[in-house]
Amino acid sequence: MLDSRGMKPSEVAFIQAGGVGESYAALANGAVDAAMIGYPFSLKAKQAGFQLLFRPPDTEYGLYPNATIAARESWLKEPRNRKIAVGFLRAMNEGLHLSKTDATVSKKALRRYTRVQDEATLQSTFEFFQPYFPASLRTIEKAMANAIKFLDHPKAKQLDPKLTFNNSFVEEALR
Amino acid sequence: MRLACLVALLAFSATAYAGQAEPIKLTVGYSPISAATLPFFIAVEERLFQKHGLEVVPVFFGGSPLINAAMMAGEFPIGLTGGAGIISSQLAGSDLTVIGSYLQVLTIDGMARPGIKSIEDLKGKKVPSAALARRLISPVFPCSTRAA
Repeated sequence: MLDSRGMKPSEVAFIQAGGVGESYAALANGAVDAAMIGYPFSLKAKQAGFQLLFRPPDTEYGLYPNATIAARESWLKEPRNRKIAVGFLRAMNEGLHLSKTDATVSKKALRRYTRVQDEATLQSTFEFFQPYFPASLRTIEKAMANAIKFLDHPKAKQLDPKLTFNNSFVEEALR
Repeated sequence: MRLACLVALLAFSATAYAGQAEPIKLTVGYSPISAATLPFFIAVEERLFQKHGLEVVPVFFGGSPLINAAMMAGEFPIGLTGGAGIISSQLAGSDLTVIGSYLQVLTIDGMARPGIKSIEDLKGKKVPSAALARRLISPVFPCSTRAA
């Protein structure tokens, strides 16, 4: 957020808070002036009258590999296993499409897995995530590059983001 | 004639039955139990995997590192996990790779108290230091935590 305006971390005071829930609590009780917080706390903050200052998905900083499908290359190289992976991705692609388009199916799945039963919460959850789910399962290189940037690892700077993912399985699944 | 038709029908049924391959059973580790995993939940709930010859058994894990470790141990071949953990695993020498992504944005917002109208207004103000939020704010420079 600061970097997007050319500001340095030294220009604000960071207070140790914990996770996003604790960050919201710190914002709500006035202990801090601003916070980066996730759903559903961002929704609560908006409802309580706090202002939206920065939305990462609207900027170059927003791409990040939050949820991915992974497998071992040694397993994938077997033709039988490649078929399994492609079949898995075809089903996931259909699930992805429904998560963006079908509130009824989405809420049914959320009810079962998250145990949330409140209709209003389920509907707002569906509406919140709907624009964030991508159009396809193709991994975006910039997302992986951002994740590499955030890693405190001595070899991270030398890692080519292209080597961290393989879209050939998705391409085959989408054919 | 009727007997011939019956024999033909029975032969066809046997052939059709033999052609139906058993679905391949596939254990899949996943995390978290939240809307972020919705595409997978839908695929299981609506039996989409069965359409593609798979019988998926979802198994919840408490976090990406556990899923990655289980895949490396050969517990199951496919896992739903965070991309950053895969990258860390790769840097440690594993052959895990990302073959698809179903949520590729940071779903966190920068929220401020009324009176803070712009990011520039944060100069000299206090913000929480949740680890990822700190890194997002300063993708290049590591941040230190300070009291107000």
